[in-house]
Amino acid sequence: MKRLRKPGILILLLIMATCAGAAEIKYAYKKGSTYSYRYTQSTSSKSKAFTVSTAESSPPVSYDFSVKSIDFQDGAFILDVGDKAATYRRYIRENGEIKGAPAEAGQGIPFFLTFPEGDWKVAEKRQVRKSLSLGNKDVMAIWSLLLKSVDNEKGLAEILFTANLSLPEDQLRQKGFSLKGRVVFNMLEGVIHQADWQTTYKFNFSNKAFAITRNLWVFEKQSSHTLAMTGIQE
Amino acid sequence: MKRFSICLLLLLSATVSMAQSHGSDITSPFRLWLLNNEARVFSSLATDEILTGKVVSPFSLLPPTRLQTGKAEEKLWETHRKIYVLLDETQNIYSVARKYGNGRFAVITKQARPETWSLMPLLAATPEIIRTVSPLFRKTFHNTLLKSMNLDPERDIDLSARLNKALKKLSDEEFRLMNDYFGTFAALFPSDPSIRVLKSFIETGSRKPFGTGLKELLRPSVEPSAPTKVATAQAAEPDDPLAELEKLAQFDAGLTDSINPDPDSKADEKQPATLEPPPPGTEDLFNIWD
Repeated sequence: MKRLRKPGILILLLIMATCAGAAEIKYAYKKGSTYSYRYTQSTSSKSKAFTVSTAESSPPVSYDFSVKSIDFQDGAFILDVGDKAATYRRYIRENGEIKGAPAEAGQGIPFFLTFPEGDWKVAEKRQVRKSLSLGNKDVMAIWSLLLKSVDNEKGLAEILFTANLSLPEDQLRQKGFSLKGRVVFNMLEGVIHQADWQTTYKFNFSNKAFAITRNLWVFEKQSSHTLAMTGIQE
Repeated sequence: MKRFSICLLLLLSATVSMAQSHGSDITSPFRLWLLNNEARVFSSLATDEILTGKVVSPFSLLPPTRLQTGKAEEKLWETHRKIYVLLDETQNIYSVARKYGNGRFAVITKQARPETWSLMPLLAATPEIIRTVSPLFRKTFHNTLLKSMNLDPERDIDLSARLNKALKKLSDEEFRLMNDYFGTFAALFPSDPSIRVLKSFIETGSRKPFGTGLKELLRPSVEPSAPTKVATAQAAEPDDPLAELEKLAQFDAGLTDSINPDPDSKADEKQPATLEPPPPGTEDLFNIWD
């Protein structure tokens, strides 16, 4: 009996630790509330042709917008997203998946990341895949998410995310794209508190005739994005 | 049979004219290569921008981004536009030098003398009018001829200076980039002779004068009063049109090495160096005899 007691305690401790390190990440916009955000973006790009390089960078540019929660119907929040100049109505599920965007018909809605449903354990990885079509080609896009930490006292969960996108390439066109970021989710309010992410794009263009291959141009682009909540109005 | 012969003749003449035009076009292969590469890159960049734009906003609460960003490649395309302008100018200079740089056309126009032939009927009746009208006729004919050939005396009198002026519009870095492109094109398409001619033409043409025979066409040394002299004394030797045409015919036939074979003639000393055919076996850029 004594022999069984020690492993039993360990298992119990492990279960308790696991329960404490898990969280349910889902949006919970309150009907009638307005959530204000500031989105900041900065970009830099480089191009290189032989020994000649050019560079261009733009200083951070900010854009304030709000999310007005209208209602919750058929498993989706009805939100008005935008500013005074333009507002877009969106239907968003609790996990962040977009259900509809009537004001953006025909524009091609981006592939947004979605949080896993139910309990999500700390250090657990999740993936969301989608095939993006461009003309006759299909390109696979993958969002990978990792729940890094959960602060139950503050009600904040930190999630790391990356995007993998296999851009069409061939022997003469070598490309790479990466997106890495982190989001702090306010579990008490059910909204994003803060997020920042960076993207990197590289395109190497070569020329080939018969057996001779020559590098011609290299293009690189980086962008940094920050999203911060600036207030909630009930 | 006759129809067949006519068709064959037309085909042959078309082939010859195409070959001639291709021979004088030294910039098109390189320009098309660069334009084609640009088009492929534009297409790839646009496609990638659409695709990456689909994941660059991770959250569905983000409104469509309206922030515009600078693109470094625009500077590269701007440099390419400068290169295209330079290529246009280089091609134009090369064509002018090839067509008129040997001075043969200047000799022909010198002998055309419309003021002489058109005023010939007045010679017997009112020779005094000829004295005043013929210089005006000559000047007008000359100006109209230059305009019709798209030649400008101020601009084209020194083709080397014109080429240098065009080259100065590129910075050192831009010029280096263009040379790198030339090197790449030459490595990728070693059998294409146009790039070697283009590169050498830019290098050599910017250093030493060429197409000097054009000077005689743009600013003829003949005195305006010469036609009157011709009208009154038809057999005046140096300006005798028929005699000069004969010399030209002999020169074209390869019977003489120079348009003015007379060793005592001062005009012969003034003939441009380009009139001398290059030594056998060497490729002369400014060979405009063939």
